[in-house]
Amino acid sequence: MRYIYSCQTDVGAVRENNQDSLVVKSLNLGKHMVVFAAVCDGVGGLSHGERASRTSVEMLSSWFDYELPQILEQSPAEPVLRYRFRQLLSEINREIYNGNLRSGVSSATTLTALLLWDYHYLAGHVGDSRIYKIDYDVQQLTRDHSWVAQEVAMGRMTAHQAAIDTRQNIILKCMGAEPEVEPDVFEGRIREKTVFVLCTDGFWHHVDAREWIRQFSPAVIKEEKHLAENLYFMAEQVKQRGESDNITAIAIDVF
Amino acid sequence: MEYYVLSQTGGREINEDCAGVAETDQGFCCILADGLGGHDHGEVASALVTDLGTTLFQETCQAGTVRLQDYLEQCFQKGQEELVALQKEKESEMKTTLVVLAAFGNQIQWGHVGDSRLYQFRNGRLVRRTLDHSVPQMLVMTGEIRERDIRGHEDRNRLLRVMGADEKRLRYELSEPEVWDEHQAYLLCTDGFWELIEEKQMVQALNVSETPRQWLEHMEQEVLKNGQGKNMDNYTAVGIFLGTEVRRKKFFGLF
Repeated sequence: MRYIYSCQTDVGAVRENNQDSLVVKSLNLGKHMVVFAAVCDGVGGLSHGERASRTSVEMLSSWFDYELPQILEQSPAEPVLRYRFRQLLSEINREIYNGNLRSGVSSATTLTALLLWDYHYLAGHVGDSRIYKIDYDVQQLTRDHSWVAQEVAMGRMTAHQAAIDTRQNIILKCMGAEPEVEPDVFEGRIREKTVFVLCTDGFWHHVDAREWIRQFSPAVIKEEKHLAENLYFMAEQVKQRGESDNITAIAIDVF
Repeated sequence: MEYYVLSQTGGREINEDCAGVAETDQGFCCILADGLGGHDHGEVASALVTDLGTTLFQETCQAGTVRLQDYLEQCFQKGQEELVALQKEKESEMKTTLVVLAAFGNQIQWGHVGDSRLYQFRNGRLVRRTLDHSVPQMLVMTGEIRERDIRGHEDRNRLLRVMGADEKRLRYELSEPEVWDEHQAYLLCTDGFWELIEEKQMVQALNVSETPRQWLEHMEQEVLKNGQGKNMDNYTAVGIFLGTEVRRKKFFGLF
């Protein structure tokens, strides 16, 4: 099982600062590769949101670099991994929350992270950033913790109504707003010839299912540069369609 | 292969740590042991297993091909036998930890008993470390404490496996054999060393070092800084570069 990946982040057409943060990196264990990716979309005035998303990504990254090798050494590794990953998300939440208390500001961030190794994936998710899994079809792996998504789930709103609703930016759950957070943590099997895309809402708002498949189907991705080009192309498209938010995405091709 | 050995008494009266390297045309072995026993001659136990391992390697090489698995097993089994015999002779309870890294041809493999560690790095990134046979490491496995809480844990001196313990069968742990890779670096170290330096600093030091000697000297500064005002244990480390470190960083993002 091999991987190629690329990423794209853009301040967007309107905003002055980029409150999104991302990380994507891999570790070569000899026998197999481990890939880790995360996107965070900071929420909060001035540069506060930026700080929250950056803190999250730094903590995730440091965990991947210095603790994960030790976890993967355990046998079986999965129970320890699952447990520690959940713990890490609550540590990040608390770090941002306590930071807010100390400095008297309110900042928060969405957090969507994906770990891929040896036919498994493990994902952690809070907020309205998303993970898409694209093979012959496109599937949204995460559910948005947003008000409109809740309304759609309750049957009080259609997907179409939600997509044009002005209250799309209301999120019900994020990192740093409360002392405790309950993230969605889920896992599954992966197969070759799959592309995963992690993105913030600035990216996904204006992209429909057919476009995901057209741009990121494993059939069209042959090398890293295709991922980079298609991410760039989509980000430009999204801006032209009137997106004002920061635009961030990571694409990982498993083959 | 390049290596450098560092061994210091710290704040103690005697240095019970021991390290040795033997090189032949076709391979090398690197051995590190941390003698336990206070006034009970821990330094004799660590020297015994170290000398035995290096001598055994040279003898096996002279005799022809070294099968790494066999060599490693002998290091632990013979070491245990001789140590138990010496304990009886001296009416002593001296014990020691043991880490052995050995390479022959294009294969490389290692084994360990106790809480001395082996860290493996590839392309300037931490890839794996051996898991301590200690109470705090068990607590990490059961999710009771986090990995970083091992350092300074009150039970950190309680070892679950050690050379010279009164057991019917010595339980040592061997790695899978790996293929020699020029981009790998190894660090073998006793707890007096790793207690005072975090993995992040090991990696940072590695990435600014041209030689194993520089690497260890950078790390020693960190160890001494963190050990200030404490009654420092003996600290011993061996740094090994399999080839000239080629640092190719494969990650995006900021961290």
